[in-house]
Amino acid sequence: MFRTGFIRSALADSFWFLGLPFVAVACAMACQQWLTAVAISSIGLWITAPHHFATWLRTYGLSEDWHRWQRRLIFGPLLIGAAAVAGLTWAPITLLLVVMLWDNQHSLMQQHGFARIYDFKARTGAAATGRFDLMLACFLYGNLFLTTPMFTKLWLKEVCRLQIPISLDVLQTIQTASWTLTGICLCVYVGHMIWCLRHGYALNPIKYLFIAASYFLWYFTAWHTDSVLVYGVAHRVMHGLQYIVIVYWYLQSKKQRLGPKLPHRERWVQPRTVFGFVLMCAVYAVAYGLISRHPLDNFGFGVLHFMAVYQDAVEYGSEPMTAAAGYELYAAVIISGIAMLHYYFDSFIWRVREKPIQDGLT
Amino acid sequence: MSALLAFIRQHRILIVVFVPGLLLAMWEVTIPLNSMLIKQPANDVERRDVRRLLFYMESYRALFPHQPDAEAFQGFYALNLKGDWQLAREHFERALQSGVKADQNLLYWYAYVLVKLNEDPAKIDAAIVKWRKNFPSSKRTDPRDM
Repeated sequence: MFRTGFIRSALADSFWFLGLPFVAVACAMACQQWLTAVAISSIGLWITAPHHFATWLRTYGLSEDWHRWQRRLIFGPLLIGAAAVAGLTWAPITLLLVVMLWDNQHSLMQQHGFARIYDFKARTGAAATGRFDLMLACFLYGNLFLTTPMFTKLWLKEVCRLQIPISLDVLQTIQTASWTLTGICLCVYVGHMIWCLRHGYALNPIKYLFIAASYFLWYFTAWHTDSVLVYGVAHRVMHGLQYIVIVYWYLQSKKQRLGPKLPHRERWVQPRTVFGFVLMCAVYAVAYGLISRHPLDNFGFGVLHFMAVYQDAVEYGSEPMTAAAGYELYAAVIISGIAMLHYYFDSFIWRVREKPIQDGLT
Repeated sequence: MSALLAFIRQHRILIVVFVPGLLLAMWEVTIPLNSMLIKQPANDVERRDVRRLLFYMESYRALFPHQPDAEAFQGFYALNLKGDWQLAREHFERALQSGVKADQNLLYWYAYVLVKLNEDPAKIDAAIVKWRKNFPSSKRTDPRDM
């Protein structure tokens, strides 16, 4: 009747897939309570950017994937880059809408994909269960998009900007219809579960816990009064970390399977330890932040004010620090810091009176 | 034909994303760009823009009357179209009571209204510090210098 199966293991899944949405909501509430709005950008820098890096690692770092999707991996970036430039030049609202909609489709598909892995691992569900899962995901996420204050504010603004004729009655009807259809969809989904059980197909309860935890995060945070911050942090923590974790497991699994036959490309990109992987992600985040000229404050969750150094020195004729001046100060800190490290190390590695050093000189 | 079908199958996600995007872009380039800035309209085009913006704000308020954004919208309306700073301040303070931090417009225009109302300098400074702390990279002019 019921058969449990996990993406990795009971312990790992309990944290990364079942518990993480709740941890993410707690983190987001803590950020809202004790940090500033800079926390959204910081989470974007430290989690979202490395989760992009995990994609590059998977697509361009695995020989198997590269050979399998070579044309897409070359053609895709060229087309998307051209579309982004054209959109920014001629149709910025469209570009914004396309990115926003694709981002949401991508988010729902990630959770749907994980849900499918649960059935795949536990060998549960009927042949049509995948379609029912997708239907459920589309309705739950579509309803989230159409009815919550945070998303409504976004799309309603663009609808008005694009001069699409719509009335308040139509808006209210859309929202009521969305809730009604989502309720019907849930009933149909439960009906499918009952059908599965009656026809001898086992169900994986962990999958349903995972779906419930994910949608709890989205619905709870999208209705929060400071939803931009709370949703922004919680969603990015859940989406980014779960993605990074699955890529790490995938790479490890491929590495173990290939063993000594590991191709040259993989040897370069596959970290040997978790620490190495996290370090690579962190280096990417820093490089991304500096190249894309993220304000330096974004690195410090708003707790470290790199650009506020001279803000209170107006009486001495000093103006508040600009972003450009902040970068100059940062560059100066790096140059001075590296020089000081050199002075420090030289103060003890060249003591000729010590035997090991004498050995190196003879 | 089969090569075309294979190409479409291989790139279907790009087609699904960019073909509607292209149609929407064609719609967008045919309409005059507007910034949705709320201000006293000076001509027919601006009057239409303001009507559209008012529809946006009032629809949102009708759908979510208890959200802080609903109060903030009323504040922007009072500030920019009625010129009633005191009323704007009341709406902004009600919105801020919920602890909103991630709305730069609300934090900034609240500080601006306090300056215009010649409020206690300590209160103005506190509002500006709150705005600056949450948006340290903002390029907006300090309301005290406007």
